[in-house]
Amino acid sequence: MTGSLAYLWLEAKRQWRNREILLFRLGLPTAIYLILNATQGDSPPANPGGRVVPIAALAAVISGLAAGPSLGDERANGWLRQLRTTPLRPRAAVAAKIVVAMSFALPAIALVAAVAGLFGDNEGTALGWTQWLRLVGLMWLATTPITAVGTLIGLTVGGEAAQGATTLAFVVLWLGGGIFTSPDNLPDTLAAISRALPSYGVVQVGESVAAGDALPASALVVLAAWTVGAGALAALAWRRVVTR
Amino acid sequence: MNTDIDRPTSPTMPAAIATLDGVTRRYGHLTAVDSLSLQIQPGQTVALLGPNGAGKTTTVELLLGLTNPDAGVVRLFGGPPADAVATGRVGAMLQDAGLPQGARVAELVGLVRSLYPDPLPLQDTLRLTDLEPLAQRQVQRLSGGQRQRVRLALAVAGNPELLVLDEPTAALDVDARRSFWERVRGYVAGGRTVLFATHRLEEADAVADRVVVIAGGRLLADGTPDQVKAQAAGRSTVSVAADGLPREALERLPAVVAVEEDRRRLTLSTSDPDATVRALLQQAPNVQGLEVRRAGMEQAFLQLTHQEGGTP
Repeated sequence: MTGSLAYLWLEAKRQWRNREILLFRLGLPTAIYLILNATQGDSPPANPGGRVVPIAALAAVISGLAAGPSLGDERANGWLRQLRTTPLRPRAAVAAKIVVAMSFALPAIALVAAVAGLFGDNEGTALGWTQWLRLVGLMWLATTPITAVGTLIGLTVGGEAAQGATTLAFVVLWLGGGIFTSPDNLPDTLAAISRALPSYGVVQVGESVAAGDALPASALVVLAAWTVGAGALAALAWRRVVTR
Repeated sequence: MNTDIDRPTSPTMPAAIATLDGVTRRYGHLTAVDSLSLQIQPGQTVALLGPNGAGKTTTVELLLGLTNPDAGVVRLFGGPPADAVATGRVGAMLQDAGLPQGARVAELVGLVRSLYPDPLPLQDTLRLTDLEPLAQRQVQRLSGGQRQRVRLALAVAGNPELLVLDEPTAALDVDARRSFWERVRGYVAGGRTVLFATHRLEEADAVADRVVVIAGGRLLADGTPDQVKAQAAGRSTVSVAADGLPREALERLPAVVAVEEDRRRLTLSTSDPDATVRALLQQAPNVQGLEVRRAGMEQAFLQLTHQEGGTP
């Protein structure tokens, strides 16, 4: 157990001290929020929470998928095999990737929310303290299935291909998953797919908190299904990785 | 499956640390390891010697439980390899294993130490591998030789009973190779066991007290470096000018395996060139143009591997 924690701690230190990673995972969503605010003015009032929700969901997707390329790289360069010659429990290595990905998702979402609270001046961002905390906390928890998807990619696709697959997943979730545009604006088939993607679940969670509504059951079902589905596939892929 | 893995060991022979019993591992059509049986006793420094593609890495992976055999049984410390790995009795240096970017040398060594029940002190590990001045350096800023030392440090930091090294000096120059083996000797001095894979004969000859030669996934020779050389000495040659010597008589000389005639010379393949020459001179004291070519380690290795593993 102490070994697993030591691995988690090293994994966290190693990723948190990388400036490019910090800039990408924490800086990029916040920058996008500020740029959109400056160039496009107030959020369309139709969306509860306004622009802050989709951009916080974007932050969730960027950090959540991060386990993918990291695992893919280390599978390709042999570090994971080296670890497998030590007493470290194999699943501790994967768990550490997920926890570290989540450790970036929380401040990334919080940062977008903080900037929105400070600089957003439209109705959508006029939330109370507790609402902001709920927004950040629940959107963060809703990131879980996305880390499962990232882990699945990292365990099934190796090396540079993992980067490509992660980018593809990012683009699909961003453009098609309710972040770039609401499913309501899409043709029927695409809208149905969009509503079934985990990023839309994250968006729905954020919007319902901002609107003061209960969490929609459809979002919880989608998020739970992705967590279980991607998690189970990742577990299968892991068994294949462990014994070649 | 072989059932006699639990047979009692003789009183003079300590229980084997590692056992491969009729182990076969295939990758598609390629049989990387072919019915290999092997035992490693505690305290030995064993070289697993073979040309590239001989099955050395697969053998190492089987021993470490990184891959499973298609047939046969692998035992490490009397149980499945995964159990020995999980309880920290093994440390390994894999071929070309990468290191995670952004981690510092001392952090990685510290991580490995925290995973094993009875690790070496951090400073001892760093001193043994000459990494003290680099302890705070991030791994991506290390040279190839420095990274190699880090990988050795990770293999020994847990103070394992068995050290497994796969082509550990492949990327090193002559000086670095020498000091690498000095470090390994420093570690092994406490009676620990080492298995290392190499394709360098001189390395097996100089470092190991037991050499296991494999090619094509099969065991070709097993013994001390001298024994392995002797085993291949069947191809030492004695050649003389033919000059009407009776070929049949030469074939009956002691230790002669084969006689060939070529350009008015007879070439005798022998497993004991000394005995052959003595008998030859007794029978034919006036023999002309005598030439003896003894199989060195290099020749022994080439001959061993060509007679079995060389066929594609």
